[in-house]
Amino acid sequence: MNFETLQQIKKEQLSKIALRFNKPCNLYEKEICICFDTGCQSTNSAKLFEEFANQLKINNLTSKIALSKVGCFGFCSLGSIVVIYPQGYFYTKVKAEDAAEIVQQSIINDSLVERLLYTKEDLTKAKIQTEIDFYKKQKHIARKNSQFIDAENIKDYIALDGYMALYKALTTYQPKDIVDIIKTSGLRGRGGAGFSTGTKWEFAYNNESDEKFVICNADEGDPGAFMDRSILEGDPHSVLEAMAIEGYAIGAKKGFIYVRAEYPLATKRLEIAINQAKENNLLGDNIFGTDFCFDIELRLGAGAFVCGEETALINSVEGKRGEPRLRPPYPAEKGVYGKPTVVNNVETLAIVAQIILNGAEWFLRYGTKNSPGTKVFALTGKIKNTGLIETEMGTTLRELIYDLGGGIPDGKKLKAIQMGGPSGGCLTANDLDIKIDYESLKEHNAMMGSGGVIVMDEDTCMVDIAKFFIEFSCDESCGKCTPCRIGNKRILEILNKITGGKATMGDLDTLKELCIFVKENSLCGLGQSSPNPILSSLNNFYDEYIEHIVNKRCPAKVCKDLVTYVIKENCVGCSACFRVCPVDAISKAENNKYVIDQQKCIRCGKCFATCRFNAIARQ
Amino acid sequence: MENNCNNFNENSDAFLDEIIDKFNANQLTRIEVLQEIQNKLGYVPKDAVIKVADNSNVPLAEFYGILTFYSQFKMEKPARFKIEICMGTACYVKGAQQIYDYIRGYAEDKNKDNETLYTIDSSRCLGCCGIAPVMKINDKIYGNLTLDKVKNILQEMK
Repeated sequence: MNFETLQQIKKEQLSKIALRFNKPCNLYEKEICICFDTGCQSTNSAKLFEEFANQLKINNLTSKIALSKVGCFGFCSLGSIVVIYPQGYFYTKVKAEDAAEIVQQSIINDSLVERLLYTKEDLTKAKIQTEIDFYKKQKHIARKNSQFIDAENIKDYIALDGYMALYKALTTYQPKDIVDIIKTSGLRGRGGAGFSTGTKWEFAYNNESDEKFVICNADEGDPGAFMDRSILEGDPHSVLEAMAIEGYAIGAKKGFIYVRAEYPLATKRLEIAINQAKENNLLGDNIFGTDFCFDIELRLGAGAFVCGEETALINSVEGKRGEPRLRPPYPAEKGVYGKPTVVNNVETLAIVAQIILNGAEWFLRYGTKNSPGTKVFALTGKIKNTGLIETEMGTTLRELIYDLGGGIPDGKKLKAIQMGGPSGGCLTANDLDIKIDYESLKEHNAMMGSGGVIVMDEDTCMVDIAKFFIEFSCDESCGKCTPCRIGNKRILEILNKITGGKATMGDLDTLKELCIFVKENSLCGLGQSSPNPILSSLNNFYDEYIEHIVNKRCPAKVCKDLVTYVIKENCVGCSACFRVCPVDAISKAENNKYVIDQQKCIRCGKCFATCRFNAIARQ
Repeated sequence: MENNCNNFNENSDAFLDEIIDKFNANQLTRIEVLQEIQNKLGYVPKDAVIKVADNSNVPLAEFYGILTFYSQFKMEKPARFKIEICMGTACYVKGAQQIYDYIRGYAEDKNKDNETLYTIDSSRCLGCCGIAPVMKINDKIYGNLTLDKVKNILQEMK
């Protein structure tokens, strides 16, 4: 591959996909693009694709209309998403049965299928993507390509300036220049801690060694975050290109991508991408005719959250148990096989090529002073619009939750916003005006983490959520150091006492003490941060803990042992509850109404879910 | 939705020799050896690991340590339907526990009269939080679950 060929491919492919950017196209009149991300595939977008192909054939349109697979649009709750170019008609929740109508209305004719358009807050319909509030305040850098390209076709990526940054890096810059550009851009690791990417590269650059390694950390274990999966599935080449640039900068010839086992589609797309890049000599020996050689190998995880920690990940890449190593020495000094290694997160890498193309100054224009650029957030939980949102750093939580996320559904009240997963903390409605960047979140005892934002409403019990996270950490603790292995277990026991109504106020002091101890004495990031969800909920929802301990009540009515079910006066005696009770705790009283024997009741809630007359109270 | 798992037979399975050769030639890491066995058989049988350990320089204990460390590895033959219910935070907040309890109960009932038809696992996060709650049956993902939807899906599985 040389520059001329790259330009040639770009030109040819751009003419094929011009409709996606509302530019004239000689080959096709219209184009149907279907999202092929895991989320949309679960709503059967593969069948939808076949049906569209079939409809085009029936109507004899195959030569005039293009039918393509593209990456994630980010609005996962609306899958499957179909867009008709050049108009950009944005169809949501499309099923295979709808294909015929769309072809008839929007392909053969120029009209819309109204019922498949997104309904806005004011009940009008949004014709195109940019009319939807969810997209209005977004700025795409890491997710720039995903919705426009087919991840399994390298030409699509090249058409959007793919591998131009690598060419520029290899032919116009010295390795040290690249390190400096990334350092000047202020790019910080998007995986959690927010360490300066350029500084990390500089350490590895300065360490002399016959061999160095680049690792892409795609072990996205933080529950509630899925931006890395979406980037890998939608735009895998952006990660490969960045790894090659990084390899050139620090002097590495080999890279590993460590993907978690739960992401089969991302793995498949990466395999395809690596093969295509090798075929085109964009990976391999003498890339672009220079002396630079770089190769990438995939390593599959096997299901261990702790492998997201860089030293544990390095052990796992080597094929060992994923137990963390002591730091220092840091990986930039001694990483894989004892050689200098840089570990970067997927989203961080997805930004690198664009910084090289557009310059550090360009990147600094976005975001805040200390946290430049954009961040992808996975907005999930009790929120109207769930999906991936990429906004500039410094966006307030209020904008994120209400303007972009559409607020809390069913008229419920916002209770907490959990950020940073099992290592992070929760924020409350009082914190809505916090500008999201690394420092501000830390000040409020939360953290950016990988960008998972889980919204909770009044039906969520914060003690139960704290318990949920500590159960997670207990399960995922590798067992190497005692504070984490045993400390978390003891924390869980105290929380079980609290949710079981058996705790005393003294337990609360022990809990706090233990949390601080585990935090201060654990070996790696997992143990050092596992008590965070508890400390932050103790801080923000202290009253809720007191309710559980003193009044033996769970205000959100979640904790089983603190909830009682009672049949009210309006029971009609239909016997539905009597029939579903698994322990025969319900019997008929003399007045033909039913009663629950509280001694026998196991509080499974089946009667409550079954009663159609709203005659059972949960207290 | 049939699972790809054959019975392990030491004599007839030439694939294991291939894996051992590759491992001894440093082309596979220890984790990859176990992954290849599991991909082929659907689980990692004890006899297979013993054979690998016997024919390489790595002690059995090392392999056993890896097998038990990573949750992906199964040492028991999986049932015909492998159901993984996602218990990530997004799914949990949206009622995954209820779905998990229901499926557990359902599978226990069915497993009684028809040997082991279902294996139930909870997953840490399937990465489909946008369509929570989510479960995976064999390789297919089902999203936006409700109890009714789960009942239908389970009934359609034969």
